[in-house]
Amino acid sequence: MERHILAYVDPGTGALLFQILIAGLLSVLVFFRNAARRVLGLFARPFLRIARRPCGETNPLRVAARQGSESPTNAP
Amino acid sequence: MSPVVPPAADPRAASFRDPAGFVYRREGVLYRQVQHSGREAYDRLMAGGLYDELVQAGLLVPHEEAPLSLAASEGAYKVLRPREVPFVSYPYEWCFSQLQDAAAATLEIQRRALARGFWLKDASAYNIQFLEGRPVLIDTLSLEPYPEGRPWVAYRQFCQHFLAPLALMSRTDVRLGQLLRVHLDGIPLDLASRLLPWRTRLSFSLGIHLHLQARVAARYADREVPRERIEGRMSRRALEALMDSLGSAVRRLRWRAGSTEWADYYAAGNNYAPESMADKERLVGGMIEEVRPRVVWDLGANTGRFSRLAAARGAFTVCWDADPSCVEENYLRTKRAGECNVLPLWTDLTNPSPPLGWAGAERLSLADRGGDVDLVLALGLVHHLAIGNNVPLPRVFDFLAGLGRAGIVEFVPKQDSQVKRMLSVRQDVFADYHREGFERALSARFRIERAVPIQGTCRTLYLVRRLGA
Repeated sequence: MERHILAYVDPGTGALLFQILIAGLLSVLVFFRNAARRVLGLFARPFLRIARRPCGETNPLRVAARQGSESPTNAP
Repeated sequence: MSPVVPPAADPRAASFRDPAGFVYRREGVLYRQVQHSGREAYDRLMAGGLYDELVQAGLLVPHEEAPLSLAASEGAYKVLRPREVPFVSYPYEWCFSQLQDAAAATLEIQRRALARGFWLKDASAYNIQFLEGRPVLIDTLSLEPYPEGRPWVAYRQFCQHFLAPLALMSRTDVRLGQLLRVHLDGIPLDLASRLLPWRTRLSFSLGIHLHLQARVAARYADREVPRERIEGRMSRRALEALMDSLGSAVRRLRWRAGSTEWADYYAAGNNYAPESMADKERLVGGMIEEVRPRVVWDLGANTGRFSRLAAARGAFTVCWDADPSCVEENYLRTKRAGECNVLPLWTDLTNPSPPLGWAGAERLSLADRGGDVDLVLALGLVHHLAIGNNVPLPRVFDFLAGLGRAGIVEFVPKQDSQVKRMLSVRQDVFADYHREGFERALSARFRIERAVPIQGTCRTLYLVRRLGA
């Protein structure tokens, strides 16, 4: 398949460069956040399940969000 | 559901940008042509399980493959017949939560796509429509194989179409959602950045995705950047982190429908004792049963109390209102109740959605999208147009006759408290605004089938059929 570098939508030069920079930073933050959650989860498990997210959520937005956070997106 | 998009309208007017395919109508049926350039993407989408997953999750509009002989032009690889949405609405007609749900659906599609080696090559809010009360992607060809290492080409578009208007509606003023009517490719980030309160710079996600991006984009606006600085520079993990951040930015924004005059109208018991309200509901319900409409437009629907009388009788009902709080409350109600055939939308009927975009034909006007609906409800509406907006009664009924074949129209006389209040601080220049004048103007466009007073009020309900309909 023809792999055009930029799609038919103009992505904006600045937006692409900015995105590369920001996404790198964000992935580092996600890494540390997940590490922190794991550590907290380790301590929390025997006592209170504070690291667990609320269940029984019906708002599709938040259900999607919850599923999102269980996706490989947050996998360390 | 029969299409509400009129056969005369050529939907190609809105789908000329993507070289991979386009939509068109043939004998009233909507088709999507996949060009040979979109072949690999389409085949992999169908074979790899992503299409099935998204359709099952209610996130993508389903389609059937149609014979190639139905193609509209040369270069066709496939002809698809997608399930048609009953009414095409536009982001500038959505309330806050509708836009937020559309944004969340876009990100959820992107998340599921990435997990299967795909991504969205664009993130236009116009690619999302409401089908059975839920936001779905209608542009099947937006999904293409994920080119590893590339930054998301639709990042800026997502911010302009979704994040910026949501932030403005939530943090500045909900009416700024109407900026989408002027800026069809989303609100420019520099404009959003200027209009947002200063403190939003301190918000991590809005600070990054709107304010900082606007500044960087301005700096690089006229620079040429070598491909090597872009290609292969963004890992999948970085892309997923970006999506994660956009998701939390969208979710964190909140707008609570304020207690406006109209959102509280019924609760405040305005003009209606409970018995009168019950009588009006009984009368309107009976009239709807007489017309047996498949498609109803409720104009000035407030929170959809009477729209639901039509929906309960099986009609697909579009509820138009000018008050964003009413539309928000109405939409949240459809979500809570899982209602499939009620679509609340936001427009000011004194200035309804015009035709917009390239050649004035990319986005259709409100009237052009209606075609000719079976029944129009104008309950507690005409006095607002005639007295509140000084529109002569004949013109009001011309407008209604242009929208639908039948109508249920309420006459609210000058002695009604609502009209008295409207006239309390202004000169009464409405000499023809009385029952006879109302009926005379109405009869010029419609045949009056029934006129029934509403118990305990001075108001009258008319069931009318358009002359020649």
